[in-house]
Amino acid sequence: MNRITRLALGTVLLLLATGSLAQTAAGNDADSLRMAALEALITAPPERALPIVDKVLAGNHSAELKERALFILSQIESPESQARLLAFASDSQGELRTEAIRMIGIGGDETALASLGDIYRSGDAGVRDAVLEAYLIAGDADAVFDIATSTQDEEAFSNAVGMLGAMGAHTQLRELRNRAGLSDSLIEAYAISGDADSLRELAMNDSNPAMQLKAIEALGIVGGADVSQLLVDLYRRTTNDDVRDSALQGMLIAGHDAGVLELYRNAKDAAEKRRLLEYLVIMDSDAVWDLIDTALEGAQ
Amino acid sequence: MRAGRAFVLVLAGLAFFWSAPASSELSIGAADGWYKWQVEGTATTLYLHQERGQPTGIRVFSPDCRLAMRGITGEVADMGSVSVDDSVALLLRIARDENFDMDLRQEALFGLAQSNSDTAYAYLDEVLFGE
Repeated sequence: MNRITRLALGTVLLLLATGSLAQTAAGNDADSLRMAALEALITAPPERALPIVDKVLAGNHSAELKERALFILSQIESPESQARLLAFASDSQGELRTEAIRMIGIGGDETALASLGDIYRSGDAGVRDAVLEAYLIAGDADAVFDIATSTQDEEAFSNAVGMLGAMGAHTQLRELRNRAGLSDSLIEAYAISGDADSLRELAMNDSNPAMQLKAIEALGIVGGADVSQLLVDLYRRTTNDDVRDSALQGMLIAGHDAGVLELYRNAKDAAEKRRLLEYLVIMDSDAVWDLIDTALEGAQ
Repeated sequence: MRAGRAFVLVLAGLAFFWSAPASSELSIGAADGWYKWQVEGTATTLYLHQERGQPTGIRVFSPDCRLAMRGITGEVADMGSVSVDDSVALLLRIARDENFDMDLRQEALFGLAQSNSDTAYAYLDEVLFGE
């Protein structure tokens, strides 16, 4: 191949590559413009926007564009748009269905939210998670409470309770204790929701030792000065090793090394001192170095 | 050399195109800054920012969307009222122009969507469903 041929070939390849890059860029621009045009409909009159959104949802478009179309539907304040969203949440399949359910949560329309209860009951695990998420987004703790009280499925109950915890729904979680009894998932939800009062009450009650120990540990998740002091007091007041272990675990979770140090300094028993020191080491507490210095000074 | 001259002429043509008024009816001043006009028959006020004869920002203000006022600072030249068709023509030209960045084109699309104009919606349809 002579030099001129090679140059010509190189030029052709360069042109082809440039053309391909330009096509890609043009394609990206077209996609961006398409998305922008769809998003612009959020400000459009509903009677103008709805037919276009319908057409996007019915057409052969990317999942991303269709998901955005569902979002636009959620933002159009008209019964028609909510009905379309609900139809999509009920009848479509896969990711778009769960997205439509979430969008009902974002839209916050009360009627549509109420209809999610039926979708939850007839849906698979993915649909049920999406409904809980929609209620979380909408801040509808009562709807999640209804699911928790009506389900017979342990996992579904646990998921609903966990969601109530994430929502900080103290009232509903306390009511659940009266209705469904105490459970691990409920105690975890008390912790996640930051309900120190309920956990304190359970931590002081030794009628159900397993739940008491779990509540004491869960106090560590809530944290804070009052809770940290409570954990130290619980450790001091009891002679029950399990309660002491749970209190230490709670302090570990809360990062309350000052409390463990205080207990260490007051401990008389060598085995207990060793155990408390182990906790301080696990907690990576600076107090360990002070204790080592003190011990070395004493040795000298 | 001929090719170079032709290239310069094309550039000059493009520059003229954008320094020209948006349509025969709508003439924006030459000075940099914000311009505003009431879109006739609507509660919408359009704000357009330009620098060196080029549009650089659009805001569509309606009683429902006060957030649209963000970023409008300094003196705003009031152009009175302008017809929907002329406003749409300006927004369409900006939205169509691939030389503008996507943010500006998107602002133009938002203006078009609020116009309730058949021409504007035909364009939105074309963008979404055209080949």
